[in-house]
Amino acid sequence: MFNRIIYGDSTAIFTVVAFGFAASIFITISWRALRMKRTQVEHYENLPFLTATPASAATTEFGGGPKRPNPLPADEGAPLSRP
Amino acid sequence: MSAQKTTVEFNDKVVRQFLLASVIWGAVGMLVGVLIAAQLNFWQLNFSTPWLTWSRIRPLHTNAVIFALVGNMMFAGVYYSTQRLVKARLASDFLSQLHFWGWQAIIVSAALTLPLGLTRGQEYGELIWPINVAVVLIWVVFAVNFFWTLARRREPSLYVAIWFYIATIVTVAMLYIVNHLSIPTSWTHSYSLFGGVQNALVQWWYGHNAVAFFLTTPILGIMYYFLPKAAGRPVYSYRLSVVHFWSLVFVYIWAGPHHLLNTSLPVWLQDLGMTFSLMLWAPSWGGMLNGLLTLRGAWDKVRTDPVLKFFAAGVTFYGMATFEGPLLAIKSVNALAHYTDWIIAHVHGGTLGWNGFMAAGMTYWLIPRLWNKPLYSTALANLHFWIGLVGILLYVGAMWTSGITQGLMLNATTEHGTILTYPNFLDTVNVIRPMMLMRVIGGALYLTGWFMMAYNLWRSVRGAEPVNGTIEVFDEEPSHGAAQGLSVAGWVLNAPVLFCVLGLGFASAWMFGGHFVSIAGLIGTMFCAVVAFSHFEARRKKWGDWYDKLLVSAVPFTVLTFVAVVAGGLIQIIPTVVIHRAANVEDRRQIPYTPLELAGRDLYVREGCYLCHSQMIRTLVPDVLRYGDYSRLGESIYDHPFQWGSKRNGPDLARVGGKYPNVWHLRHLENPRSISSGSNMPNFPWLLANALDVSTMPRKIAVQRQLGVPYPQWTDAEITASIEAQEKAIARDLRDAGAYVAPDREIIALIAYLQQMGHYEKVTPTGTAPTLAD
Repeated sequence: MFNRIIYGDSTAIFTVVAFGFAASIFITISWRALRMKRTQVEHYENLPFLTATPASAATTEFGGGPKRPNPLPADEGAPLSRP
Repeated sequence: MSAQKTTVEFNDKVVRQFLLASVIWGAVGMLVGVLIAAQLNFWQLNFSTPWLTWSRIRPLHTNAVIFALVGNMMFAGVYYSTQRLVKARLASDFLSQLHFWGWQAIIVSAALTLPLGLTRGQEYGELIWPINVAVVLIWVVFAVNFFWTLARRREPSLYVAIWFYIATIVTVAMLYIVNHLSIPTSWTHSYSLFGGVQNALVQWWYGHNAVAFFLTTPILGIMYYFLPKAAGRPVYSYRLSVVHFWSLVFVYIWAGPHHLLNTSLPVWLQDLGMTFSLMLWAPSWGGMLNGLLTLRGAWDKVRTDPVLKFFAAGVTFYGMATFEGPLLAIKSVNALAHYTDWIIAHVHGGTLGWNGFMAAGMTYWLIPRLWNKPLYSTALANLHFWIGLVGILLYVGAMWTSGITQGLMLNATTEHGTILTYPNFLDTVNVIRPMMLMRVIGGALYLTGWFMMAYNLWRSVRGAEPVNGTIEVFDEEPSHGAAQGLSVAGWVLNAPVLFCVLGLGFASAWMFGGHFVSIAGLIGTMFCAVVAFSHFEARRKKWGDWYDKLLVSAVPFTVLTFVAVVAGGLIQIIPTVVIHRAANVEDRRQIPYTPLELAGRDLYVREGCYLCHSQMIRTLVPDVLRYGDYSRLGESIYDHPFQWGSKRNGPDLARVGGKYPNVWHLRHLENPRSISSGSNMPNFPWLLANALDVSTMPRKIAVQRQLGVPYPQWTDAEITASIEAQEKAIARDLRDAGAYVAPDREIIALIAYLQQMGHYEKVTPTGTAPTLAD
């Protein structure tokens, strides 16, 4: 089979095997992800909120306008809970 | 023992540097983009200057946008988020600065060399070999700095954004090195190690995955960090992000051959590329939905917050581009779309919409945090968004219309499919001119928005004091989570890894072995699968524990990610590289170029002719009717680099040799409109003025011989004599036709090359490759 890999029709098996291989990975990972513990998921999804550099305290319009409260979240402190 | 609290200051200086560089280079890259779009409408805009000509500065546009805009933005995002996700300062300030300045030096080198025509002649892989070496070195610096930081981390868990960064670093290194393997002929020129179909396959394995692992995975990591931060809520589904990552990493790498559908690439590779491209729909849309659903409950903020506007639109464009990509990878759709502006629309939906908007969103989010000063104008940022969005829609809409129109016209036949409806290629070009003009307007609008961001950034940071983020940590915190992770022995000597290695070994024996070995391999594969499943059933918890530990162990995680991406590449490339030799070619084989033709081919590459003219007649009836018999694998076997092309702004040239007299080519290159009324091809007057440099030809032919091209052992004198004889013959023929050109001009060599195209020899079943001496 291998020596006619450029021209031979039998090499279609590569596509089938590769598809099966990738599909098995997909199913395995999906199964594994679905079985993640809730606490584990919460730990991971909150990692971006454990450390932060807060934004400057206010935002302005064209530099000289009245100061408004920062619309961005204060992303420091305790982990966020799912809304 | 009491834990002592200390404050760690992040290295945000390098983040600021990369952020500013991204905005500046982005403006340059897009400015060149608008110029080349305008040149397609007004050919005079190169001012008859070589270094301003479309085909030389188009690579400057693509390289600037990919490596300068997205590259710098990616490094800023990676460095900012990684430090915070692992609670550690970047490992080395020196490496950070070396990374930044090294990368900028590479960009400047590219900006100087590409317009001069110093190129390797492969899309997105144009940079000459000394710059390739610099890219690899600086990428290693990036990798060392990143992994060293991971090793010093105080947070043992690796957030999914870090996974995407790891995949980016290892995969880009692998792709870049393999695709750029070359043998130098001088300090500014080299020939690719791969030729013909090997080169095509490796090039699009690289080209496609440059999109995947340079323009997509790092930006997905950035999305998974910055989008939840901007929205103020965790990612919609962390579970989905896990599936997104692994399936994307496993699937993406296989899809490269979809750039070569209906060509002479072996059919099994085309099927493989198409199948995996269709499979990409699932993970890509999983990621897109995960991003958009993170905004649930925060959509009201999108109305006022430019950051969320850019992120929401960016992720939507990611979804659109990753829907369109698999669609275009279906062979029948590709038959219409390939070589047309539809592909350009697809690419720009991804780069302008996904990369550009994510870059803008991240920039607006970072400015107040890196300079401790409010954004100068939120209103201007919102205006940037709307102008940019209208620009993208005009651009993409125009290119969709243009691509489908031209594709339909080029493929249209009459008389029961035996005659082309539009035999003149220029008829199809002139129909799409309004769309080409609309593209300029769309691009200019997008660029205007980008300039607004640059102005907003400048006004925001002017007079502001740069600030570095800080975090308080306990001295006793574990530095890299070793206690919870896997030891070196632990991640190698365990059931999942051992069964995988064993299974792959048996499967390889089955696929590649001889008769007995193949049967043994098949039995072994089945046996291994059964035993692995039984073991998994019996020791389910152990398998689960191993996976959990993997997620907090950076080194094993990186190695396994590398194995995931390398598998797809190896299965595609190794058989083709090993088997596709001249001795194995069936049907037709290329005749090696004469020294003058080879010199002409180097000029063809220098001028970037491949960016407008393909050399691949597809196995499609309209292609064959228009250009001649379809291209065979063996007909480009000695081409280092291959020049199959990916876009037809002009007609295919695979069989142009002998179609027109020499004088036709001379007049056409001097002024295309003197031959083809309405052509938008630029004039190439310098080809008549420049003398051909033949001093490098002996070295070039020696390298070609090293690469397997069957040249005889010519002396330098024989090479020179061969060149002079052929030059004189062409010059004489031109003179007989009333055109007077000195024999030593560059245009003579280019004509020699063009007239050789499409010539081949029939292969006898038992014959070996003959040499020119034969």
